[in-house]
Amino acid sequence: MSSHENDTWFARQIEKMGPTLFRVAFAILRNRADCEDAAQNAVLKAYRNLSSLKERSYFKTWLIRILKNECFDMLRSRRPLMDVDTQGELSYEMAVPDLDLNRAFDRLSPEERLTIALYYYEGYDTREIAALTEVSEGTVRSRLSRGRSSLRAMLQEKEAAQ
Amino acid sequence: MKKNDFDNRLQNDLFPEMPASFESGLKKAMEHEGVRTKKRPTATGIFAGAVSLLAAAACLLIVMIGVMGGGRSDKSQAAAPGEASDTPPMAQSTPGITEAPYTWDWNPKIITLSTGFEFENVEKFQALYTGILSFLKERGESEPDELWLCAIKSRYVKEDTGIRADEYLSGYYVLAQHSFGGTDGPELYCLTEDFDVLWATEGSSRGPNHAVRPAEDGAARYGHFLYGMAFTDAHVTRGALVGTNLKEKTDIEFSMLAWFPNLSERLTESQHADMAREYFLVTVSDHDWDGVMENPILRFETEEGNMDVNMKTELPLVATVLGSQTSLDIENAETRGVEYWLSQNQPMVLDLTDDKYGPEIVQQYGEAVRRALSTSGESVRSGGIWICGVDYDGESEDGATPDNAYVLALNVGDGEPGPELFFYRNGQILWRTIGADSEQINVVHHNGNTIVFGISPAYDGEPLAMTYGKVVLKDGGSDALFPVLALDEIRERITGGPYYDLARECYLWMDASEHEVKSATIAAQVNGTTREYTLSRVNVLSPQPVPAMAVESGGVIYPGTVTTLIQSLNEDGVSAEGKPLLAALTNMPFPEVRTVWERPLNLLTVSDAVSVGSVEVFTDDLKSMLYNDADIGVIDELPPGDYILCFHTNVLGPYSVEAGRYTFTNEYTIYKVTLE
Repeated sequence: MSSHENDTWFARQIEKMGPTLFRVAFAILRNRADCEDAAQNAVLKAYRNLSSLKERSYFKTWLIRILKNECFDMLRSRRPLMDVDTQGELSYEMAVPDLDLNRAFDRLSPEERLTIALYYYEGYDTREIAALTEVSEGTVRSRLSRGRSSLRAMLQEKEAAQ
Repeated sequence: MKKNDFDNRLQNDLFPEMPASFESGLKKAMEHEGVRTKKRPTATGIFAGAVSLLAAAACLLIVMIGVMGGGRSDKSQAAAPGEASDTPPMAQSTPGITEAPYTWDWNPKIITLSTGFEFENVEKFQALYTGILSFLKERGESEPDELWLCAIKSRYVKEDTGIRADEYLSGYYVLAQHSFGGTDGPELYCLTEDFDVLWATEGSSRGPNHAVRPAEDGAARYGHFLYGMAFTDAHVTRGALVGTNLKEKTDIEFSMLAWFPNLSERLTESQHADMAREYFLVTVSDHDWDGVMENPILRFETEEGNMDVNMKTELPLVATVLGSQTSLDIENAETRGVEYWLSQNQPMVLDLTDDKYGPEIVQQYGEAVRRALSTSGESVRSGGIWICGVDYDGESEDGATPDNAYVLALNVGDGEPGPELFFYRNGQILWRTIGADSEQINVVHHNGNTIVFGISPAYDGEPLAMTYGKVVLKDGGSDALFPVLALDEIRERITGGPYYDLARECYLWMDASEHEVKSATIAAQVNGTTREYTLSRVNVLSPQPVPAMAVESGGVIYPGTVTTLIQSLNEDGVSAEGKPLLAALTNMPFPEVRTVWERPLNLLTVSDAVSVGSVEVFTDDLKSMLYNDADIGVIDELPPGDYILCFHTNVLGPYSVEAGRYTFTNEYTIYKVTLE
C-alpha cells in the first residue's frame, strides 16, 4: 500500500468511526471539549503508530483501545468537574435524548459507562469488550450488570419521586 | 418501570448525536499530521519525507558499517552488516538488527524484532540505527563493530501543561547493544521522532534498563521504569527512592525495592547465572502527579549498610533496578468485605514508615516467624525473613505487638518461594501455611472461620507446586496436617504472548479460632485416579463432583459446573430447605460455577451482604448476565429462593516484565438474588 493509499485508507477509517469515537469518549469523559481532545489525540497516535498495527482488520478495536487509554489518562489528569450532589445541574452542552437517563448514567463509574457503550451501542460482546478494555470477561459482565442495575434503580427512584 | 421500557431507553437514548465540531476536530487532527486524503492527492507529508531521507542515510551508513564490521558474536543469528544489498528489504535481512539478546517487553506494545516486521518499519529502524551511531560518535566512543537493536518502543510524552495534540512529543525508546564482551549490557536510548538521541544509559551491567527520564534541569521524573540485573551478592533488604519534590518543595520517599532472587530459570543458560542477582525497584507512577524529583537517590539497605546510588549520575551502575509496586490493599479489602493481602508476583515490601507497622512490631513478628520456621525444621534462608504484610484487628496498646495478627512472611532464598501466612498470638505463631508457593495469598475470616486461599503459579509443563502443600494446625502442641489441594484443571489465563502463564487455583479452609480437628477422609476421582482427601474444617475443592457421601459430613464444597451444582442440590435437597447458598463464579476465562456450599460463612443475610459492599440485583439482570454465556444459562432450573452469588473475578493487571507475565488481582462482588 502506497503512502497515499495509506493516508486515504486511514482518513476513510476515521470518518467511518467518528460516531463510535464520540460515543466511547463521551461515555468516559462526559464532556464535549474533552471528548474532542481525546479523540484527536487518539487519532494522532494511531496515525503515527499505524505501522505497528499488524492486521488492519483490527484497526477499529485498536483505535478504540487507544482512545480509551487516552480518555482515562485525561480523567486521571483533570480535577473532578463536579460534586456528585450537583450533578442534577449538569449541562451537557448539547441535546441529549433522555436527560434522566444521562444523569443516571453520569453516576456510574467511567468503566461501567464504557462497558455499556461498547456493549449496547458498538455491538461488542463481553469477550471482545474484555479484550478491548483489558479486563477479564467476568469483570465486563459484572460491570454490565452493576451498571444496568444502578441505572434502573436510579430511574425508578426518579419516577417514584415524581 | 417495565424491563422492555428500560432496555429501549438504554439502547436508544443514551448518547446525543455526534457534534459537528467533533468531526471537524478529527479532520483537523489528521491535517495537522499531514495525512493525505483524496482531496490532496499530491501532498507530501513532512513526516514521511523525513523518514525516507533518514532511511536512505541509514542504509548507506549501515552498509558502510557492514563493510567495516569485525567479528560476529556467537549469539548472532542475523545477517552480517552489508549482506542485505541484494535481498528484499525485509526484516530478516536487515543488517545489525536481529533477535534481541534479551527479551525486553513492556506494556504496552514493544516491537520484537525476532518476530519480523513490515517493510515500512525497516526504514524507521535504520534511521534509529543511524541516530544511535551518531550519538555514540558525538559522545566520543569508538564506532562499534556491530550495533544490535534489541527492542523498540514508541515514545509519547506529554508536556506538563495541556494535553492538546500539538503539544505531544513523540519518539522512540530503543534498547541497543554494541558489545558482547565482559558484562556490558544493552543500553537504553531515548530518541526524538527525528531520530536524535535525547539521552541514553551508559554502563549498564547486563540486561535491559529503562532509565528514569531526566527533566531539562537534570532532575528525575517519575513514571518511568528502571530495572536490570546487578552483579552483586549484596543482599538488599530494603530500598527507597528519596529526593525533593520540586513542585512541593518537600522531601519525599518511596519504599519500593524488592529483592527478587527467583529468576534463576531465565538465567540458567547464562554463563553469569551463578553471579547474577536481580533487583527490582518499584516504579513510581505519575498517574496522579507529574512531579519532578530533585536529587533522586536510590537508597539500598544491605547487609553491609546503606548504599546510595545517585540516579542522575550513577543511574546505570550496578545495583539499580526496578519492578512494579505491590502494596497492602487494605482500603479495597474493607470495601469488599474481604481482607486479603496481595502478593502478586513478588514479595511485598511493607511500608515501614507507616506507624502501624513500626520496626519494633515488625521485628516481633519476624522473630516469631523465625521461631516457627525453626520449630518446623526449616532454616532461615540466605535472604532472610521478609515481613510482607501484617494485618490485625483492633489497636495495639502501648506499642505492644498486636495479637491475632495475620503475618505474611517470606523466607527469601534461592528458588522461587512464595510468601506464607502466619497467625500470630501471644508471641508465637499459632498456625501457618507451608508450601503455599502462591503468588496470591488471600484471607477471609468470618465468625471465627478463616479461609486461606490463593492461586498457585504452575508454568507450562511443570508440576503444580501446590500439590505438596499442607496446612499445619497447632492444637495443644500437636500438629495436624492437611493437604492443600488444587484444581487439576489447568486454566490458561494468558494466551497470545510468549509468557503465557498457566495458573491453578488452590483453596484451603481452616478454622483459626477453635482449632478443632475433626478429620474425615473422602475419596474423589481426579483425572481418573482415586485420591483420598483429609477433611476437617479444611474443605477441599475437587475438580470433580464430590460424591454424595461427602455431602453428609457438612460444609463440603460442591464444585463443578452449574449443571453439576443443580443436580447436587436437587439430590440433597439443600435448596428445598430454603437454606441460602454461596456460589462462587469464576468468569475468567471460562465462566462456570466453581463452588457452592451450604451456609458456609453466615454471610448470607441481606444486611451482611450490604455490609460487605454488595448490591442487590434484579433477577432479570442476573439472568441476562448469565445468559450471555450459553454454558451457564441454566439458572432457571434453580429452585425458587434467595441466593447469594459471589463473583470471584481475576482482574487482569499490568504486564510484569520481570515476572514475565501479567499480574492479577482478585475482585469479589456479592449479590443477593431472589429467584421466584
